[in-house]
Amino acid sequence: MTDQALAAAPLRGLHFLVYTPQKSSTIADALGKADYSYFFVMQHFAPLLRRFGEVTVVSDPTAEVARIRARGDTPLLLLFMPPHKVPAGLPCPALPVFAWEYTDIPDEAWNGEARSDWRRVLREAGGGITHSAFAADAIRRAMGRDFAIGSLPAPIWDRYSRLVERKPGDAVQRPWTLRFDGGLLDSHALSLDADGKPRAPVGGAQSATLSGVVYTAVLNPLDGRKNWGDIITAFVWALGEEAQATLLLKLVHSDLAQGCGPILDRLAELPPHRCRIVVAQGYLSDAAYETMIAGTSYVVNAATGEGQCLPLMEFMSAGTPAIAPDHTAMQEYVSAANSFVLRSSDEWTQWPHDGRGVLRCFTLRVSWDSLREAFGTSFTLAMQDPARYRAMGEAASEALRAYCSEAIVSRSLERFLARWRRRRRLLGWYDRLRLLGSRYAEWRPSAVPLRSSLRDAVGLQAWRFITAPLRPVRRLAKLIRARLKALR
Amino acid sequence: MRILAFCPAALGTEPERARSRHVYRTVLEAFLPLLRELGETIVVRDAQAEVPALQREAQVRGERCLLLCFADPDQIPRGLPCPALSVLLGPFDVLGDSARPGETAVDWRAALAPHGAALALSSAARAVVRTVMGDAFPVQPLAVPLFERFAAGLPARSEPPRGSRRVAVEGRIFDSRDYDFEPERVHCRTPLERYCRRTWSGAREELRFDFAHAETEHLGGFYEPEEWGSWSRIREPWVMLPFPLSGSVKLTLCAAGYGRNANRTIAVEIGGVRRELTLWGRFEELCVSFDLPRPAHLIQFRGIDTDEIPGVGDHRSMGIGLRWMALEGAGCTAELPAPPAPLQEQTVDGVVYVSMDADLSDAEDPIKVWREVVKAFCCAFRDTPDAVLVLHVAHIRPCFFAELHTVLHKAGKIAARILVLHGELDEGRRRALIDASTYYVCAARHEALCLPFKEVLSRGVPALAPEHVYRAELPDADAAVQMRYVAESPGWPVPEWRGARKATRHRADFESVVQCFESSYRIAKEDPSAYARLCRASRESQARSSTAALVRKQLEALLVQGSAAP
Repeated sequence: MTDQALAAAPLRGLHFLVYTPQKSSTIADALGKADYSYFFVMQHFAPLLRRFGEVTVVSDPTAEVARIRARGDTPLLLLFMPPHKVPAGLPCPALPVFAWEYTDIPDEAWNGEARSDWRRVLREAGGGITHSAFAADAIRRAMGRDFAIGSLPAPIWDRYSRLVERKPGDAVQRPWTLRFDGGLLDSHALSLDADGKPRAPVGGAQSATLSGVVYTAVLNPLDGRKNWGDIITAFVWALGEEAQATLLLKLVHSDLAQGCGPILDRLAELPPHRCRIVVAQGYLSDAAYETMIAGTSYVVNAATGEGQCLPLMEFMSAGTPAIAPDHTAMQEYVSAANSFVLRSSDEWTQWPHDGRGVLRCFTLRVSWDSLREAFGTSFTLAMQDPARYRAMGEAASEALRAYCSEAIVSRSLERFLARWRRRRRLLGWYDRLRLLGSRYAEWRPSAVPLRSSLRDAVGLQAWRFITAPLRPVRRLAKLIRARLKALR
Repeated sequence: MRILAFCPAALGTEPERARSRHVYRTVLEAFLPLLRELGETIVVRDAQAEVPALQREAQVRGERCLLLCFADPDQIPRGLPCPALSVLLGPFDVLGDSARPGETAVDWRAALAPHGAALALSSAARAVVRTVMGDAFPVQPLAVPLFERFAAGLPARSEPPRGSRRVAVEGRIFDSRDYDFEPERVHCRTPLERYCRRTWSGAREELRFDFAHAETEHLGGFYEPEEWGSWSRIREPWVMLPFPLSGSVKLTLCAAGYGRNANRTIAVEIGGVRRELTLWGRFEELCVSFDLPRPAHLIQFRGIDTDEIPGVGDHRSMGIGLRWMALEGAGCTAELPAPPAPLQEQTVDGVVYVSMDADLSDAEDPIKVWREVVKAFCCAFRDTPDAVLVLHVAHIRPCFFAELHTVLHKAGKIAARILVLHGELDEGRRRALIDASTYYVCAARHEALCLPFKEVLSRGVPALAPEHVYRAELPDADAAVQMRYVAESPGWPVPEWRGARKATRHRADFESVVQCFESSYRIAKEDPSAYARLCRASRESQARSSTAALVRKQLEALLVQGSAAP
């Protein structure tokens, strides 16, 4: 089957090859390191792809794909990785699936690496899949309005909405226990050494019992964009006197010392407070993760940008109201109906993987003040208005259903694939036309273009008279040519 | 009534203290004529020694006596029998990084509580006193009577200055037009004669590249200096020496190679002569010798690998780390560059933004948020050649210019121009700078009393200022260009004191600063009536609040209250 044949095949019955550099056997160690979340996104997409055809997970995007192609199959390769890491010269049609949370995509090459210019990679692929309308807009701004970019969030709602039943209707949680393997910090029980410095936590089987109004943030502490310092201070500044308020930071990082170290230092430097901060580092089992979601009153995010934010989507699908900004991907599901919306504003910044550090795009910095306000008002609401709290929880799950339920995402995927194939077909025809054109140019005996030789033969006045009725047709042809050029 | 005006005399060694005392003294000088009208006023330098006798004298004569302290709370004399009041400037260090902030607060309470009240020159001072003393403690606002001094006899401004204007400073001027900043290349266009400020005898000279040393400003294409030294950023970084080299030169580097640059041989070039040396993965002293046919002052590194190392979380393009470099040799006597004139001058035109008297010596909590202002200026005027930012800095920390290079390198090629005037301005040059400016930029973090800001407002120069400063100075000027500031936590470590949780500081909101630059530029170019309105509003705000007559009335009532207090 040729590439053209793939474009013409019915939508069902495709063969997808999926690839991500992370392997399931190494993911627990890779937590918090570069691009670890691509693995989770792939895990969420694989079941959905199975609805459209066969799915094979490959461990090598070139050799293995070439073998599959040699059998006469033309699969579609989905690469869960940022575009600059997509290898050149893949043996079959391939689309990158990637997250993006800045206003502009990389549109220049650096370090002598032509593929750091994402436009080049995306043009080669002829399309791509990202997870938010915000990212899709940024890509279309760089690639042209007609570029085939799909905006598909990970379809996680169906799985996590099942937890709605396990959630108590009340924001004030009865005591529940989080059990996991890893490191634990508790601001109520920091152990100090002889110099008054806090002792580093020791890894092992841990348990912490939480109650009251529980705020949870799931984040990688080494990712500066997540802004955990502001979350801690805003929480203590707003709710320092409230013994019923607990902030749970679930760290997504595999290394105990690296993950907890910076937070421990900061905790030790806080002014006196009655509220409680618990930090959990380590991999949670599915059951523990679900217990944590069920026992959380509010999920917190104060990031400068999110490609989609799986943890926030998971908690909100399960009916947890949020404290979060409504920028980047979150603008599609965070609203005043389901969240305490944080204010944010533009800040000039660099592309995250650009070692030169030059300022090329904008990110959205959250206002600390609004974070502090949100902690205060959400706590009051939790204590005083259970009906409104329940309504916010319901609105959260509903907003996420409309954003990332399997039904919604599968419809978007179908539309995207159809569009991408239409475009591919169009480009195929365009290529054939171009081939025809070049053959004609080779064949034409004279170097003088046909039109000008005819014009010279009849004279300019007569030529204008004869061709006047053809002008609108020519204009139309020009328009079509321009459109085809834009497609390229 | 007898008024004893106290202002601590001895200037401390800490620059911070010296500056705040300098401002207190200026404030006292502004108040003295008024105080003299209100009663017999004696300036006291040593309160413990002088006050008791002076008070007894007054008592004998049946006069009331009041001690008026122009000092930060920790400088206020204690245990004197005389009724006292403090005039406070703010902001204070109580929430900063002093060693025992909790104790500072206790200390303050002991100093201020006997006074029964305080006078605040800024809303920041008022807020901090309230935080420490509680909301019930009376803190009265007081304006500084400076309008006549700043505005006397000068015509009111009503349109932006046009044509070429000269700005000058006794010190040095950094001009962004002397540099080309591109992502992978930095070039300094200043010729040898202008860059070199002195000659070289050939004796060993050591240049250190950690953040405590000003030599970092001679680095090109490096990251911001760190505690140990500086990492290079581009493939071909350089060091531009402030003196020319010539003849035989021995160069010693304390350097290390990062990643693939460990065990890598790179080239060092001076004046067209090329030598090779091998970097190691740890810091080592490396030595190369040159024989230079003609004077040169640029040490150029070549052959550094800046490519990203796959799998490493740090994406920075580090290549060579430099701790220090030393030069020894025959010296350069052939061509002596003329010593730079102490007075440096530049011509500016277009829409000129000026900020004066910035104090950038404190790295941890810069009062002026210069980085945000420079970054926002670059962002707003990337394609606007006739926008100029003139930043006058009185005090800097050693690596300020290295940090400025980094900010400008990140911003890249911009059409606008940035001048940094480093040094002292005398009265005439100060006036010329104000006259040259289209707008003044006040980028204070706190609502502290900002004398240059009051000065430019009195002169009718419109300003870009944070909302909170505007609220304090221009309560009803709706034609003002206001920058949005947002509260943030006061940074780490936070004092171990329960009241600390009320404290916040402010940062400039980048988006809003960019918008302020853009809209003010539009007004200056296209909307003369709006500009005239801004000028009028600026001047009137000061005419309303800071004239001598007005402050006299305010002060009179406060002093009567104060001296009546037990």
